[in-house]
Amino acid sequence: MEEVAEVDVEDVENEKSQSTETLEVVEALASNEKPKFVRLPLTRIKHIMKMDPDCSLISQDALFLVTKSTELFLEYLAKESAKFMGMGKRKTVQKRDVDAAIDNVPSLCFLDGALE
Amino acid sequence: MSKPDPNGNTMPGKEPLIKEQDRFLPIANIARIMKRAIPENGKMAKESKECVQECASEFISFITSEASDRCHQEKRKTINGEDILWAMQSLGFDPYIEPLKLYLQQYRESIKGDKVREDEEDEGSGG
Repeated sequence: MEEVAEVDVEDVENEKSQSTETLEVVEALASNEKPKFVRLPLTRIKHIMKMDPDCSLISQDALFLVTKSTELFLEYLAKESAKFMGMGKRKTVQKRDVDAAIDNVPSLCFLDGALE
Repeated sequence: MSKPDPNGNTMPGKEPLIKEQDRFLPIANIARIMKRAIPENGKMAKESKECVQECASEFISFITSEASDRCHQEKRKTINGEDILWAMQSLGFDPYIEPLKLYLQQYRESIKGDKVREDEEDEGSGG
């Protein structure tokens, strides 16, 4: 007798939103496509890194890690900025929300004064 | 017809603009990543995306500088993955380290797979 596993729809949706990237990787691997591991252009990232005069050679691993960490950073900055948008009961993230995140979140302090 | 400069630009007026844009990541990519992190019905003002665009470049420079310092201290010329992970920890981005290690592992396996496929194709065609 075939057993059908019961799947909670809400759980599936939550999982999907949390691990969208993992799902994309799995789907791509299943269809023999190269999964998109990065969402930012590696060449441009390398160009920005090389703007530092002390930076000479960059390994492939290093370039990948900087690219991936920048993605994580962007998500984090957006999330923190959106909190301030929410406090103002707005639905559009404004520049002032990003500024507020920079002023209030310790790990974002390095941006203080760095922006024009 | 004007001579192209080293960047391949023939329109003098456009030169500074293109160089300026090279300092930043494409705003479309930035917007796409940000969208995943904000509420579903949320929007982003153009100014906020431009601000985050600048922040991204600052972040890259910040990490690179720290990693580069470590590299120099150890008298190496090539910044490697360990330097980047060390910089993340040093600058207070510890929570990123474990996810980054996992991503790197997946990425390395993907590249290895590509190399095996290339070798197999070479064997098949070359003989």
